[in-house]
Order: sequence, then structure tokens, then C-alpha cells
Amino acid sequence: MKYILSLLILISASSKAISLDKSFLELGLGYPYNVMIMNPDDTEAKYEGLGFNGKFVLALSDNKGTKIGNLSNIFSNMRFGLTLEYKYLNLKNTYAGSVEETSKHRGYAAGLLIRAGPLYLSGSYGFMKAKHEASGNISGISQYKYNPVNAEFGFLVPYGNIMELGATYGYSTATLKKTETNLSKDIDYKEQIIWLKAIFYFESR
Amino acid sequence: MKRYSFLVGIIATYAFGVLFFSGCGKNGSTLFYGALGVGETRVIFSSSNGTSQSITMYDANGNFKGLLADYSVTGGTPRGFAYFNPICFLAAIEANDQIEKICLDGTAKTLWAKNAQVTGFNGLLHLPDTKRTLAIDTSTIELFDEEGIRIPPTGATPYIATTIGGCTLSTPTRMVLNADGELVVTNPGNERITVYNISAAAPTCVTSTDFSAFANDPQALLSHSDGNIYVVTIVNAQETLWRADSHGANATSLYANNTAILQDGNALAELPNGNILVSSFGTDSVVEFQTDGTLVRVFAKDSNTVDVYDIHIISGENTP
Repeated sequence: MKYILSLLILISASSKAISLDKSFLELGLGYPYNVMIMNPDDTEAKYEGLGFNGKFVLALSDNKGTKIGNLSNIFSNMRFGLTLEYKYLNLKNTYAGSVEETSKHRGYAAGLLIRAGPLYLSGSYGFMKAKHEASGNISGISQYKYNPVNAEFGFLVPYGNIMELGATYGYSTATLKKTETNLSKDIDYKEQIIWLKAIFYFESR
Repeated sequence: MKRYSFLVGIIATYAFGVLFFSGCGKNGSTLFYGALGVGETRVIFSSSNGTSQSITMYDANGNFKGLLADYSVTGGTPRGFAYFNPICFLAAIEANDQIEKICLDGTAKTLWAKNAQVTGFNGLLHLPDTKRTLAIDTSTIELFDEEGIRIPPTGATPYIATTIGGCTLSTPTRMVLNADGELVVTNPGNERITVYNISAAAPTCVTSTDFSAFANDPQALLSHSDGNIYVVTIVNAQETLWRADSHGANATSLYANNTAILQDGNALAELPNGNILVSSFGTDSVVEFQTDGTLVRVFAKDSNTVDVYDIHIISGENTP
């Protein structure tokens, strides 16, 4: 996957379609409302917390986008971009017991973004690290790496000349390898986050 | 003004989403087993002396990891252990005459089995095939189903009576399944190791090995992955670790007569690397040996290893 993305970046860098002027930086504040790890015996560890992300989008086309309400032009004004994202999640297990478990996830993702007017759709592949700490009667630490596949969609609207604001829904899924977790088998990881997003263009739109 | 309307609208939408989804998926959460170290080796001790009764957990290096249950105030004497599920095990609580389920996730210990016919809980054993549990009573062995219900629920009919054929239970302490799936029991009271065929509904006596020829009072018992039975005897200065065949016969002394290290060995357990842990009741410690009897180290010795009665090892969440 890394090599494919590297190749895409090289191709796009040589493309006439590239327009760094319409590339942008995106910042997000997230509410991870349903993060779940499936234990080997199919019980579920669930988490809530806070998330932050920063995403650089390298534009592959320079259409200016569609004004709000002008839906007929949305699809004729599609824009595409390559994304490089940093994500951080600070989570707490919602389990009610005498042991408290916290979890921090951080890492990168690379992928593609499609904009059509206010619509926002992206997909990416991540390289994440997680650390869980249990404390209470029982204490323990678990650290592992995983590679989530991420999808995100939502709406963003212009705010001023260089900004857009909006909200998106993000969904990620991954397999946590037993070689990483020390558990007896590979297990599933799922993540749902509502993001409050702000986009900053590098020049006036 | 229009800009601010957008901003307020977006933030309001986000706030609505957060409030709407807040709490979704909260119900029924458990802890992540990886964070509990369930995939790693955990060593559980039951300890009881005049002032302290507890169940504690250590890692594979003998480092203290947590207090799982404290009976010092509530009363109860923790004795034998048995596997229950990936993060829970059963503990026989003498004095309270009951079996409790204790989990690594910090939930309170819960009553799992109690029956008026059983008054002297001691050693426990999980039967992987049927998921039932055997419990040593004073001079019999009782059977419980997956829900902790005695089989049969009423009546003074134990699963294994004091005498079956040539096998007589006498102050039984520990039981294991040998490599052939037979039930092996130590009986310090008559210095015998009794072996039962439990493949049929009614257990039958396979053999009764006289251990008095080797030493007195076979107390601790381990069915090792190498196919042998390991036994510790505890009386008449015969503080000895033995290796015997799957019926407890042909015993060979592996470590003996050094009471500064091994004194009143009460429990045996096998580490994932094959080494053997022995609780040394008399020295308030747990000692690690190789299978040839070579002393590896004092595995643990602290305030929680006073009079360790049983050892339970979790070496992965699927350990039966």
C-alpha cells in the first residue's frame, strides 16, 4: 500500500492537473463515540473520548467548487486530492468496574479525497500505534500497531475567503494481529467518530 | 452575519451529533484482554494464614501484579483453583463452604457454587471436555455443571465416593487429569495416589499407588505436559519433589531434604516453559524448578506468599 501511494504522489506531482494553490490544510476535533475492540471470546471492549486530526490535502484538480444550494453543479465540479493525515485519539473504556482502562492511538494515514461542492468523501489507509493502560486492582499495559482502513464523509461550507467549516462522520476498521496483541487470535477493531472540521486554503478561493 | 450563522449552524450540528451519539455502545463493555495481560503469563496464588487471606496475581518473572480478592475482613479461606474462562477462574473458599468466581477485570468476586451436601471444599479441577468442575470435599469428590449446580443437586451421593473398588480417598488434597484422561488424586491420609477412569457416567478405580514406599503424605500434584506426574511429599523430613508415571508409580526423587528451600510443598504448577512452581508452605515462598529437579530460583517471596495453598497459571486466554 505504501508503494502504491508513493507512486500516486509521484504521478500527481508530474501532472498538469496539480494545483498547490487549491491544496489545503484540514484540522479536526473528533468525538469517538463508538470505538470497539472484539476480544478473542467475542466480548467487546468499548471506548469513548476525544480525537484530533490534521490532514494535508494535495489537490489534483483545481475546480473552485460549488456554491451552497447549487446542487446541479456539484458533480461537474468534483475535485480530487491526495491526503496525508495525522490522527490522535485519547480514549477511555466505558466499562463500569474497579479497573480503569485508557487507550491512546496515534499515527498516520494516506489516501484520497473527493469534494463535490459541500460534499466531502475520503478514504485512506493508516499506520497506527495504540497503547492501553489498565489500572486498579489489576494493572497492565498493551501496545500494538495496526493498519486501519478509513472512510469519512460529511459536509463543509465556505466561511470567509480561505476557510471551510463542517462536520463529517468517520468510520475505521482494522484487524489487530495476534502477533501484536499477544492474544490467541487476530481480533477486530472498529471506530466511529464525529468530526468538527475546519479547512484552511493556502490562498483565497 | 451570514458567516456567523453558518458557524453557529455547524457547531450546533456537531453538538447535536455528539449529544445524540453520546453513550452509544456504552452498555456491555468489557476490558480489553490485552491490557489485562491475559495473553501473557499470569500466576495466581491463594494465600491464607492467621491474619491474612487473599488471592494475588504475579507475572512470569515473579513480580506482583495485583490483589484479586481479600478475605481478611469478609472471612473465608481461599484454597484450590480451577480454570473457568479466559479471564475468570474458580476458587474454593473453605470455611464459607462455597466456590467463588474471580475475574481479572476487577469485578467483584461472585458466588458460583454452594450446596448443603458439600462442606469441605479443597482442590478443584476443570474438565475441558464437559466444561464441568470437580471439587474435593472432605473425603469425597463432587461434580458441578457449567452453572455451578451440583450433580445431583440434592442427596448425599457424591460423584466419587470415599471408596470405589480398590481406591479409597483419605484426606484428599489435589487432583489432576493424567495424559490418558484419568483422574489422579493425592491422599495424604492413606499415603496413596488413587487413579479413576471418569470416561463413563460412573467413575471406576483404575489403580491405587502406595506412596509410603517412597515417602509419606503425597500432598501436591501436577500433570506435566511431558506426560509425567509430579508429586511433593511433606512429612517426616521427606520434603521431596518426585516425578512418577501417569499412575503415580515408579517415582524418582528430584529434589529432597533441603527445607530451607522446600518445606511443606503444598501446590505445583507448570510454567509455559515447562519449569515447575512449587509452593513452599514452610518457607512462605514459591520456588521454581526444572523438570530434572534443578533449582532455578525462589520465584516469589513476600507478604502475599505466606502459606500459599494453590497456584493457578494463566498462559493465554484459551488456557483450559
